[in-house]
Amino acid sequence: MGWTQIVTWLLVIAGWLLVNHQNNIREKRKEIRSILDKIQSLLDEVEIQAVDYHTGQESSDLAFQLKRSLNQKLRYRLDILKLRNIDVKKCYSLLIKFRQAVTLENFDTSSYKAQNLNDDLIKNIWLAKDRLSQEFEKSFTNRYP
Amino acid sequence: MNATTENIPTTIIDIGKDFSRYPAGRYETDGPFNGELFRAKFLVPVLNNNKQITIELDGTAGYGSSFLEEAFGGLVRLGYSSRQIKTAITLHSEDPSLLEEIEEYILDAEQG
Repeated sequence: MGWTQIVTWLLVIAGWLLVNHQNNIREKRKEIRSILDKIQSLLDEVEIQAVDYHTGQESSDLAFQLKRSLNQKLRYRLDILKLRNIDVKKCYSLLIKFRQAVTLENFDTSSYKAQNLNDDLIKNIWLAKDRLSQEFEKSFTNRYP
Repeated sequence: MNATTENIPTTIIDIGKDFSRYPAGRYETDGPFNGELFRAKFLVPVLNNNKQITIELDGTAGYGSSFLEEAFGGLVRLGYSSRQIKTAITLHSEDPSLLEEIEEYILDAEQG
């Protein structure tokens, strides 16, 4: 085999490695985007449930679902992002704020009082959810600008 | 929170097994497995008897912040310092947000 053939083969292999590498990055980006979309859907769902809980009749079933989502479900998805090397440190503290907005006051209590949509408790839920949602997007953009 | 005192046997309390998989509410009027009851049953005796305890937080269906605030922040309102609490109680969870939240309640309660 002449040196020109060797160079040709090396170029073919290098090209294949490059394309394969870029393909892997694209696939990983798509996978993480998909996880993030699921998180955003979950956040939307929790927001709706939380407002329903606080503006309607007190419901222990809804309270249970909210605790499940704000603990297990969100944490599981955060853990997956962390395993995929996405920096989600700031998301944890905003998750706490969201959990507090939903479950610190007027929650699991015998003195439950239905809120109006313009009450601070409801506005705080919306704001806390927006901040968490934006932070997730930021984490994604920081990793894949 | 980390225990630092040596030679004191540490008890492990798994909230999901030893208390309830469904902790809920702040006060006794809020339900059977509330934060006030958890504090009185598991945390206060440890602090009063100079013992140490590890609390396993995972294994429940989830916590409301009202439960956590009453159970842990309530200790400070009863007169225990954050230092006493941190010395006596070690928290364990795979969820860093739970540990951070409880720490926040203890410090907030201490700052009034």
